[in-house]
Amino acid sequence: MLSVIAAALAVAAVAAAISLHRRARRLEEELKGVKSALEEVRSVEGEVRVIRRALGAVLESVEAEELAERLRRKRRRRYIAFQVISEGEPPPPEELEKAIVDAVRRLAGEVGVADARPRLVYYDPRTGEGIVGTTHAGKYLVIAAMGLVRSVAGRRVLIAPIRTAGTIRRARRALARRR
Amino acid sequence: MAGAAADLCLRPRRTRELPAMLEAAARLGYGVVAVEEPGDWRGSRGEFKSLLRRLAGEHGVEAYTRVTFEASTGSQVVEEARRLVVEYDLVAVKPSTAEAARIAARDPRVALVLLPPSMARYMDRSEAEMIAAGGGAVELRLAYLAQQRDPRRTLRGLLIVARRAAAYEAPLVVTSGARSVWGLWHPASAASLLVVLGLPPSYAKLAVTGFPRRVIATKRGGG
Repeated sequence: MLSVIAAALAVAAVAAAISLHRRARRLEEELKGVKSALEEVRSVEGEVRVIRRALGAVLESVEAEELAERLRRKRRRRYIAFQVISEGEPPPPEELEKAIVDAVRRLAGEVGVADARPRLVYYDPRTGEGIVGTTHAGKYLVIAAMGLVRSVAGRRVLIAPIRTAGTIRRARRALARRR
Repeated sequence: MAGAAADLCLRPRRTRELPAMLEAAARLGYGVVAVEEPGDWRGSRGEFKSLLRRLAGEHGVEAYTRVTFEASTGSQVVEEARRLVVEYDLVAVKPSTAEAARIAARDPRVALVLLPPSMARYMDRSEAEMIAAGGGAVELRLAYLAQQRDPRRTLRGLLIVARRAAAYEAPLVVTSGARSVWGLWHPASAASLLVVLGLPPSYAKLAVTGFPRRVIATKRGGG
């Protein structure tokens, strides 16, 4: 009786061991599949990295080319017609130009002055009307700086920008129309 | 921009400077101004308003009365705003604490929240959203620039307020805060200064035209 039970137990144990062995083999094969999938993912990741680096280099060169193109392009000038409202007589042109340039320097420093290059291209000291030339990129800076000018040659002033034009002729026309 | 521009803060020192300031404002292209009572005004508020409207009408300018008060607590904001909105067209608050700034932003009676350069850090996303939702605006006063020999520190504060207002899409109103004719700003110069501070040109133009007019349309008090 005991030997029968023992034999049955032994058979059950062997069957269990065989089943476990089969499961282990199956798991091993699945694991091999996962490992190979993982290797595939790693190789794809490596390729993506290479492509990204290549794209980065291409974009940098495109940006560099665009920047070079912008620097090669002719710098556009702008002319700001303005009117000086002053206490008494309008100020002299040299002092007025100096005041505008100083105001640009206060706002944006020496680089701002060099970049905007504000110059008084026309000025009538009897009426206080004038035109300041600047670059296209510097026009907002110069117009803002005009607002900061409050005193020229000891006289209180306000500089009122009238119109921004691409040529001196159009700026003079804006002044004439205003009269 | 002629006629469309608005300067919502003129602060004449004396009553006799008012006609010259209104004339100069019209000459610079402003169609709308808001004026605080001069320090030497001894008449009633109603009389000042009548005088202001008459003088402004002579130069083709719309004029409104305005008052600015400082507040350090929320309750102060509420009490003063409630009292002043009956007497003035526009009520502006200059908060000195974060609490006052928050309450001012939310108060429907407050038209403008004036943030001086020293309080620039109080301008954050939630503040901007509350101001925008309430129909008011952040005020950027350019008179602070004239008060400094070297405007760099002031510019830094103005830059922070302006950029954050634009970033969080809060209405921004630029005012001159002029005490006399020589403190006024041409609208193009004011807008260009905002562009130099980093704001888009379209938003900068709105700060001297559309936003101030919107404030008047939505926040005008019973003054």
